[in-house]
Amino acid sequence: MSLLKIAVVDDHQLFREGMISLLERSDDLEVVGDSSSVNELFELLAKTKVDIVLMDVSMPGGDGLEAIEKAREEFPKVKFIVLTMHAEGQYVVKAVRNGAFGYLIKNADEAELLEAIKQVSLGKKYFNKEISHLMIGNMAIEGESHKKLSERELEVLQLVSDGKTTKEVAELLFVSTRTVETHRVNMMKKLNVQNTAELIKKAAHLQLI
Amino acid sequence: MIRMNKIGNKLALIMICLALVVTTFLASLFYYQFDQALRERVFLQLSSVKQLKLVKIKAEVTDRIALFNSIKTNHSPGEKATGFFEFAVDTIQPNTIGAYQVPNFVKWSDETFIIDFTNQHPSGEITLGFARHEGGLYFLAIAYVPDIQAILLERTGLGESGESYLVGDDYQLKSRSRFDFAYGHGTTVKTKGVLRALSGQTGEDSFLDYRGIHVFSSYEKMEINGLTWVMLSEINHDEAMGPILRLRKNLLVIVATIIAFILIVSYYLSNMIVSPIISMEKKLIRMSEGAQEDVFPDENREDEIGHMFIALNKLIQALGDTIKFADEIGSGNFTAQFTPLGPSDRLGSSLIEMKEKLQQYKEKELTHQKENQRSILSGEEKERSRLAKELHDGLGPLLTTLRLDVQSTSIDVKLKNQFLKKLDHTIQEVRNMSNNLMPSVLKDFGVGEAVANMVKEMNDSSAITIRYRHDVPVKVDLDDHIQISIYRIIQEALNNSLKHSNATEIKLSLTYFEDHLDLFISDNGQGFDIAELGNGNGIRNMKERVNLSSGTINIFSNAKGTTIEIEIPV
Repeated sequence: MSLLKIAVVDDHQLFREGMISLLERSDDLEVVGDSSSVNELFELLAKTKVDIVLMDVSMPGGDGLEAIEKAREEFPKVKFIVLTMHAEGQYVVKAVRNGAFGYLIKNADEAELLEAIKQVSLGKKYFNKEISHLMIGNMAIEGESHKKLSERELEVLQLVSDGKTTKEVAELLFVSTRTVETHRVNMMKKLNVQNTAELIKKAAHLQLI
Repeated sequence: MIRMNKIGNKLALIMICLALVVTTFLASLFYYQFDQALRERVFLQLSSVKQLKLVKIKAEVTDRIALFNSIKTNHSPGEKATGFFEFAVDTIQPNTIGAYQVPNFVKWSDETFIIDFTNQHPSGEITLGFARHEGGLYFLAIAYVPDIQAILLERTGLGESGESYLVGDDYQLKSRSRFDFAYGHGTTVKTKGVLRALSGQTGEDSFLDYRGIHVFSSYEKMEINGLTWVMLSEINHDEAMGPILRLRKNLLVIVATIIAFILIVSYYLSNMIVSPIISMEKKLIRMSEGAQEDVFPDENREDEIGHMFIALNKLIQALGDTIKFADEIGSGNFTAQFTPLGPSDRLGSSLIEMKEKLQQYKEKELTHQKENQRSILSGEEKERSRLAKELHDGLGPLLTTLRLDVQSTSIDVKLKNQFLKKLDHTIQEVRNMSNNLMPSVLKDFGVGEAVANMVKEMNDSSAITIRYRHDVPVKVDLDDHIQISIYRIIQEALNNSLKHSNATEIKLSLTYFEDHLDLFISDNGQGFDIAELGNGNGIRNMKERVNLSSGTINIFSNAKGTTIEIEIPV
């Protein structure tokens, strides 16, 4: 079994060096390169075969997460593990969306790091409990709609068609009555109708409610 | 002292002068005409009285002549003749008859010659002598003629002081004076009338009579058979002119009355004209001293003064409007509206221009102030951001590197774990510090996500329940400073609520629209008095942030909780 070819991308040289020395202690791994920026990584990927990239997020000259998405298209075989100081769900979710196989906080233990690399090299994804928790918490909030009306507008529309007054809708959605009015006006514009009755009729017709 | 620079006095003077000229002219004309008429009338009357008496006297004398002529030669000498108290017939020319001397100028002929013996009569009775030479006989008779005196004394048509008398060609008064019997025979009368009459003139005039009294007189010479008398009919000037004197007195009274009347009328008139002018003058003076006057009471005058009042009222009104406008500008109300009073209202247009300039200046000042505050805040935020980044991306990796090193060292496992634990703690602390300064999520995922993290943090670390909804897209193109602003506002609001409201639940929503963001924060706490604490630090910071973002903020608070609604344009 050949050695796993690892690349480390981080703008801090000291960290890179520390990481490389840590990795090289493992018999299964081979650090084939390290980059201090996204651009250097692409140069490296272009000339060297790399199995797994340990990727930082915030770097001068380019966002690591964006780079993953781009690299996935150009080098689909390369797998990315995000190694970052960011411990916020949003980064995790974005990393996953962009195609990262793993997400680790920089103060992860050596054992966990190696375990993650191992899992990813086998084609599995690696997110520990803490990261999974962050991810799920944010997935719930996220969710893009490609419908004609936004989620919020649909909510308002549903409540209005249920016969709720503006004040009641505002109460339920904890927004101001003005906000509800603005939603209503925006929906009428979007569906090209003149009043609320027409709005509900058309929404029903379009099966939005 | 009468001041001639007063309109009233001028007016009175003009009116009095005019009245004086007119009344004097009319009075004089009237007086003159009356005087003329009166004189004519007096003379006419005197003349007719004189004429009447003259005729009567002539008739009397002629009667005597006829009687004398009827005495013929058959009359014996020495015999008394009826009607004569002396009578003599002689063949020689007599020199005397009775006590009377026959003057030698007697012309003896068959024509009876009359001799005036009045001067020889002891008491001056009118006494006439009759002489005739006929048939060689000299007839001579003397008679008193009291009838003549009676005729003269008849006062018909001659008033109180009228008198007719006879004067001989010897300038002696022949008849007795009516007034004083001391005047009579022996009184020499050489008045103008007598002189003129003797020289053959007949006429009327006024002069001094024998008494030295001014009279009107009609005079005529009377010649009968050698007798030459002057007949004068006279009346005292004073009596004749009595009516005109009374008229003069009346005229003077009338003129005086008219002048007095005019004085009063002119005073009243000038008052009528001048008093509104004076009151206007006072108002104008006060206005020139800067006072804002009331308009004039509505005086229904149709004349020029009335028009002047209307014009002045307009002026006051216009000035009032201008002052009001200037006041509004002065107190900083730049929404005050003003229409210039006319195309030549330079003050008004200057004020409008000033208002616009001030408005621009104020707006500029406000913009500038906002700009300043914004730049101070943004500088602050930049600094925080930089520090957060330094901690996160600078110190963080150093610590993680250190951690790697510690991990790589072959020291006692227990000790190593201890170090690692402390390091992890430090790294977490740095991460927290960085997050507190400026969460990286805010820049990378937008305000909606950054607030979500903050809410999660608060929910985890406090007993309160914050329910949060937002629909701000991650990829939305929002200015950093707006996002930071909203983040800080929410941070402030949540902290206020946590610290002061005793709320158990906070509802928080952030709604994104194409042109603005709506922020709604509502807690179920105890509320606060907006009037009292509405300007406290927390609220003020929020308001300032909203203001700098040109947004609007509404705060409602009562015992059931506080609701804050904010709208920020993006």
